[in-house]
Amino acid sequence: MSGYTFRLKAPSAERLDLSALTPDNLAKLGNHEISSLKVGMGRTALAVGEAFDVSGSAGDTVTIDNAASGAILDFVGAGLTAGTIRVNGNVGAYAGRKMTGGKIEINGNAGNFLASCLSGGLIHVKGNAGNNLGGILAGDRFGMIGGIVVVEGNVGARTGDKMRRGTVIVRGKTGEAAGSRMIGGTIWAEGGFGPVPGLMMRRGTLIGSGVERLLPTFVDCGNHDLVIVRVLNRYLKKTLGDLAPKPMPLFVQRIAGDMSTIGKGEILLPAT
Amino acid sequence: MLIKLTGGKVYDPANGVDGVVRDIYIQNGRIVTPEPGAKVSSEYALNGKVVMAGGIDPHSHIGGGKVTIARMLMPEDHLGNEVERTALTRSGCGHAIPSTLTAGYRYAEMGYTAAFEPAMLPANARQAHMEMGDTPMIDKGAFVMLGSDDFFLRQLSGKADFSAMKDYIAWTMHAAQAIAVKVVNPGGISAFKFNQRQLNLDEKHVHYGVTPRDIIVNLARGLTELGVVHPLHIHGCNLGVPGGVETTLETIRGANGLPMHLTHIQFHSYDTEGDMKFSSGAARIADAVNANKNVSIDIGQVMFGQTCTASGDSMRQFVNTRSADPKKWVVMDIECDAGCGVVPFKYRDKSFVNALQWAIGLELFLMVNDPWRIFLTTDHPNGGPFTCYPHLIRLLMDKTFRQDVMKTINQDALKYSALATLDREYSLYEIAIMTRAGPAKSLGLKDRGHLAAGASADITVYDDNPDREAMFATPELVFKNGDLIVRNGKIIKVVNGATHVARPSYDKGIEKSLKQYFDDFHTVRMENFRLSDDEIINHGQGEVIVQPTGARTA
Repeated sequence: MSGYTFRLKAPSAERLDLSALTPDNLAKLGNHEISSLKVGMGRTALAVGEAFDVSGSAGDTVTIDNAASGAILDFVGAGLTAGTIRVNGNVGAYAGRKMTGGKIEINGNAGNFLASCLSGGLIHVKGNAGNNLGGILAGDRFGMIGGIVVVEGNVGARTGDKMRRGTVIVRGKTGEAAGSRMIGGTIWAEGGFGPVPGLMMRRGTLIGSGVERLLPTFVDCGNHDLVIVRVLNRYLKKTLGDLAPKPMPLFVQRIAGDMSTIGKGEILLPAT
Repeated sequence: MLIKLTGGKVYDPANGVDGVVRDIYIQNGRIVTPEPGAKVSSEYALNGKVVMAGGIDPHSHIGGGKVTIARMLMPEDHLGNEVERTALTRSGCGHAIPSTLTAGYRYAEMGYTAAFEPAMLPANARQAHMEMGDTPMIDKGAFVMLGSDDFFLRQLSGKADFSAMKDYIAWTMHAAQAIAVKVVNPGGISAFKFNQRQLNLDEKHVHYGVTPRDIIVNLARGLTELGVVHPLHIHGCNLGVPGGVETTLETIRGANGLPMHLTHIQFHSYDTEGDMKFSSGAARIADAVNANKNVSIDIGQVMFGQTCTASGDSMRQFVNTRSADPKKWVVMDIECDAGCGVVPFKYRDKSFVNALQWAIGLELFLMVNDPWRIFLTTDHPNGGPFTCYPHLIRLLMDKTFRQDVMKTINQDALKYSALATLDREYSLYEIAIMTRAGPAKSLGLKDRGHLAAGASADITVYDDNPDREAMFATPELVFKNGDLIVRNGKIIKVVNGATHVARPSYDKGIEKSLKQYFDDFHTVRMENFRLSDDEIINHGQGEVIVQPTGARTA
């Protein structure tokens, strides 16, 4: 398998900014340039060579081994356009921020702002993810505008904040206010939603096995046989294969909201 | 300590020196003619280098409320444009609207040693001067905005005694610590609040019954009679309106020989020919400027890329909100005396309108003959950030480069502009006039912008690189008051600049009616409204330099 491997040497007290370690970017650099890339975000401004043991050669995969040290790695795969980044261990905040294509596999947990403003590609997290998955930083107009995120564990609050397009699949449960200020796109929580999902959502779809507490501004529209559920089931099976969620039953309860905005969003639950 | 700059090619238009090799001596922060046999303590060999006075930007929005609003409105301008602290300089951020410290550093790194904030509201003067006090390296100054404020409009509509109007102008300059007076969309900012969405030169303000022409003529005459060196700084009516060229020409005619400075005139030079009803009026404006020696201009060149426009002209900015990119904006009133509009813009080279704006600016540069009456600005940040100046200078000095860039922009736009027919290339001497000597003369900075004995030792040394963009982007040496502050485009010493003000005389009697007015209508008392020198000096961080004014006539 071609590609560089970065193994963390020792636990670092400093947060590291790994946005430079994308396959595209590394292919342009020589060994010496790679080891002198600045990744530290603190006073000491660590270089790649100081923080990591680097092995391998340029290729379309980058492996980052953080299993032993537990350092906080921010901006993993930020701005990724193509290729694969594989992380053993946890990542910090902003993994996959503004990524447009390619794939990030995280064999561990992800921090806050995973897939912030994602516009394409696939992010797969084996563990849990933090708050504001797909969310915005100051000045961003939209959160996720494309791409797919699959989280095997649970996610934190405000998943899909200001999301416009794309799909988020959560095997576990979401935290508070999933789909807050959502403008479009799909969030599928197999383990169900935490309290007040869809806070201030305008459009978009939240699919789950249940809801802990609904907002009073969401209204029950009854049970339906929605064609879109079949389309979605089939699309996800085709696109994601084994990663796809268990298909929804065809008969679903539709809850519309948030009526404090234009109320064109929906929460779909198995029909009762 | 005597410093000698040996063997550089000196461009000092104020003293008629055009590329002559000569030595310059600096002592105690001044350029001097040394005593024979005086001992030189340090010497810089500048053979083949270009020596000019430090650059002076006569129109750059670097302080005041609107810049702060723009910074708050555009957090994405900060993300990715962070500037790390170094052992010398402090951290900052920003591309189009940099933070105060970063703005100061970037000016110095570009060889500029002074920049003037052109739109300071009297009510915002304290904030503006605080921000400029926070801008290191360069000298500052500000033009105070009049013409849409209630007191002046009352005076004008009430046919007040003209000497009282002059007293009010002078009092405001003192109170706000200004070096000149600017009028922005004369009366229009006020008219906007009376539901007028447009105010032509001869259209009456519905409440006060005065026209923009009255306001311009009275302010221009007032400043002339007060002896203020910089003429009225006019941001005219109908900014950015196709057909605005007629208004601008009429404004020039209406001056009747009174000195006036028309600022960011590019935005006021649009004609209405062609299918899009939008074309260049640059040739007509340039003819008028060439024929009227009383008029000076700066361009407000549009540069392609993301920026954020910040203007006092709330009436026109309200219209521009339609083109905001990203789609967010602020248009607001300030203390019922003026307004401000902050609208982010992205100028695209493939857009017909933006490409034509770019071409019109360059046309004006190339068609106006007298470089003493035309200054190089982008109206930072409205046409583009000031960091574009080296690129702009190359566009003016290098015809081949200009034509190469013209090939990459919207080709339809070039059909409505005469840019392709213009062969002129600016010389270094003319660039030195436009960016140094001209602004200094126009603003009345007696010891800035030239290199004769007695001048402040603000000196920039460039490598004579045929790539003029690289040359002007990274000066080899920059001296500020005799201190070497920049070497090879990097800051090596941090200094604080001074604030330039002008203080025409006025009759203290005006304070009687002003005090009553402040007590009745204002949110602060007149005594607190006034900005003292100590607030600018701020325990030695700043310095106030009073530039001379002529004698008051009548």
